[in-house]
Amino acid sequence: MFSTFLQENREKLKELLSELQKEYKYVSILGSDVKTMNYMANKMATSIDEGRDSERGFVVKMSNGKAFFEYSFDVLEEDVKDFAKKIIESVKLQDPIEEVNTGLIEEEPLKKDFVREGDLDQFSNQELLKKMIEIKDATLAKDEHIVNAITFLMTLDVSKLFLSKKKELSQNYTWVNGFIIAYYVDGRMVSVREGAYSNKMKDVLDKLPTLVDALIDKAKHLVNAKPVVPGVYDVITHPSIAGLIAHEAFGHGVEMDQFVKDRAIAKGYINKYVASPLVNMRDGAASALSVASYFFDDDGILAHDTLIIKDGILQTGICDLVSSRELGTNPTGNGRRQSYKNKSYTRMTNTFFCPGKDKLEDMIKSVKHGYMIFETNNGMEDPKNWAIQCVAEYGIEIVDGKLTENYVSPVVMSGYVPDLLKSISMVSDDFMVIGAGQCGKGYKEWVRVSDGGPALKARVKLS
Amino acid sequence: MMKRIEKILKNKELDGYVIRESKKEIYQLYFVKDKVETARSGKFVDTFVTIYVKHDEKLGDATFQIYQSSTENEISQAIDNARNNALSVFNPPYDLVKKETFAGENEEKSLKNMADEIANAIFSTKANAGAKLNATEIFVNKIETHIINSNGLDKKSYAYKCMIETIPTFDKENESVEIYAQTNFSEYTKEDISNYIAQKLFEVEARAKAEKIELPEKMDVTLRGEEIENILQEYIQQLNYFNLAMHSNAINVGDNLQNGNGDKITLTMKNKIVGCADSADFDSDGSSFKEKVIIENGVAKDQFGGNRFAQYVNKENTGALPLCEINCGDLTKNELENATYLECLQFSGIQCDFLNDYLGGEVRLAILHKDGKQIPVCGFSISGKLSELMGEVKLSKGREKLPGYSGPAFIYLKDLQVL
Repeated sequence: MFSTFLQENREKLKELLSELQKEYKYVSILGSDVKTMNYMANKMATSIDEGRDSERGFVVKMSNGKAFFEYSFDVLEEDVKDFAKKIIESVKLQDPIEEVNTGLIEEEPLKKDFVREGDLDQFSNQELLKKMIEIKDATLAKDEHIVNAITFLMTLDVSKLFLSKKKELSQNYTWVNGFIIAYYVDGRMVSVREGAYSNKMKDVLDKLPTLVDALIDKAKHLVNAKPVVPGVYDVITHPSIAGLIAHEAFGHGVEMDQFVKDRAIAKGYINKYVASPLVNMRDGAASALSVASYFFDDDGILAHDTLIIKDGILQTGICDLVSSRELGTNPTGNGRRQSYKNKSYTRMTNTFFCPGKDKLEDMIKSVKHGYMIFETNNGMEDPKNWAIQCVAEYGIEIVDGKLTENYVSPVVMSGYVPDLLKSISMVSDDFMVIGAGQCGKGYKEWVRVSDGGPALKARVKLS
Repeated sequence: MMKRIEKILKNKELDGYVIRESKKEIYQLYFVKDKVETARSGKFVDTFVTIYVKHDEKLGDATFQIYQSSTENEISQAIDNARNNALSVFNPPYDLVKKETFAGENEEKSLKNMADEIANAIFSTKANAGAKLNATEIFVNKIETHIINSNGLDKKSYAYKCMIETIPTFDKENESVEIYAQTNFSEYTKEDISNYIAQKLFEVEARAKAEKIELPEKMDVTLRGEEIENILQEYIQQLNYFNLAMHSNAINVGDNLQNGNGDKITLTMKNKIVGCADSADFDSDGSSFKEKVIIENGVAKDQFGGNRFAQYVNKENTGALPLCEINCGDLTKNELENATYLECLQFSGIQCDFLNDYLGGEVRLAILHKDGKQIPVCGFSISGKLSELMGEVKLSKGREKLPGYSGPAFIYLKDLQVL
């Protein structure tokens, strides 16, 4: 349900908008009311807590065609005229510093309320914690080598209100992530995890218990895992790693605020081959239903489904409102803030490679000696110089076209982005988007993202 | 707001509460090259309340957020909901931190003045032809942290936290390269900032000159403070009461962590070190700190942690100590003059995994020291067994301080696999 708090403040925010418009030609106000809840059970403790990402506040964004000025606040003061004066004074540049020229923003009129129905209100906090305890107990009972099991649910309930001269938009949507983590000791300790993600709590609660056996099987293999012998290998990537490649290799590289700063080499590769002709890649809040699926972004731009790479050729980037002004392009609904307290940047949403035509079993059969690699640990972008590092939790050795029992962990995949993408020789016909990611801009500004795709066959450096 | 919340809490059937309030004032400047693209400011407060209810010989707790805009009814309702949640939570009992008071010094500074000073220091740093700053962000925050609990604890501190993120870039004839640089600090001089920027401009120029050359399969490397802190965090996590209570610790007191002939590490967890921006007066429970040596001469000596888990494992509450300090050694750059090694300056992100006994990562920039020459190199990865590498580690004589680290400016590791 849309936030009562935002609804109650709607009219007063419009008054503030009018006051600020006396000073600035473009003014927008974003109101944000986000509730996150965490439900956790482990061997010795349980909890039902509100998440650190919950927030309730506002940010105004203003421009006269040069620099942008923003003010974040959590209390809308009674005297709107006086408050508007305080905001204007607070953001004013003190020293005479040269500003960029962005030009004035032209908006199409739009008034709409968006809702994506969830089912969070059908479950009590007590029920959810009880379910976490049951799954934790079931996991612990499965194998005596498990020294601790942690079950965890995170719910997200987002309401946002966007107001500008010509736009009045509201949205409400929910998302749920669930995890099981086990600490397994047999000679040495390993930690393993499985996750379930959906816009419906019921889906996550149904899925989590079915993951326990796979979790334990993985732990049994990983206690015997060895580091990979560094080398260049034929590799099949699980969809989670394909997603990590999409995200790190090209997602960050086509964030067009990086184009503005001449920080992305991709800017010079539009309409050129950057990957194997088998590669198609998309990003967008409207590209898939996952954790980063919203109706409009934090600049009030409607969600897009952007085709970034088509048949190996780079088509376009993704863009926030400010960068689109500086580049003379159209925004793509990718302007996102960590919270109302943070700036909006061009950010990824749901980023993935599109499915191909190969069968996964044929892809594995085609590998004489290599690895199939699974599960994102972390990754790092380098959009200017196209270096890439993707860290997978583990890999399984493939010998003579068959998966073996030999696990390696961790697996660090690195190299030069075009080399990696051009080496893609097979793309599976299945597809998965994983909605549990967090992405930073550099080492800050965290937003929720999903990524994924089919399995890919590529030739890469592992260490 | 805290008084309002406390008044309502006192009229509820509770066995304890903690209120944590963080008031922030921010001022931020975002530059594209040397022009301002965005200026931001703001004022907001985060207030988290944890309530405790004893039931069935257990302790239930629940944490929730109260907003500046919350009405008395909303606060009352939030407490009632949390009480219901706490009744479903069956945790081993523990006591809240006892009554103590602390009031830090509230020094008034202008955030705009600070941001302007920092900007001037950054942009007045001289750059060689071809070198520039492509994008720069300056954050200046004033943070007031206030904690009270039902035992009468009342502590307040004030801090100014600054951050510079900048992208030094070097343009060559047909190519342009960049590095990522971020630094966090509480105190600064113009000279500190200029020196930092100058070092990063030097590094990006080195990256522009870096060659992808054939390197031997195995090489010695040096790592700097940022990477050393990353490695130490693996040990620190293993020696925390939390992991001990959760049965997820892979290091026990008495374990020898450095088999070999390297310099032995002594690691002390601290709360205050001059020059470390993460220094703190108390932790998020309001606990005072007690420094703790957790590794002594390469052997795990003790564990540390905050109020709740200290009681669960029946150990002394040290507070959640935020800083790590390790001893320096004797090694100097002069001693390495004739050595062949890679001085690693920029990683994509070093990967250190204690459970898998792994250290490695993709190196974006290193200086190859060989035959008295220094050659910038890039485009390779390093990896090795963490236990073996730390067994033979050599610690530098010089010290480096980062927000959460004080220790050798560099360490020397032997025989890493290079690919």
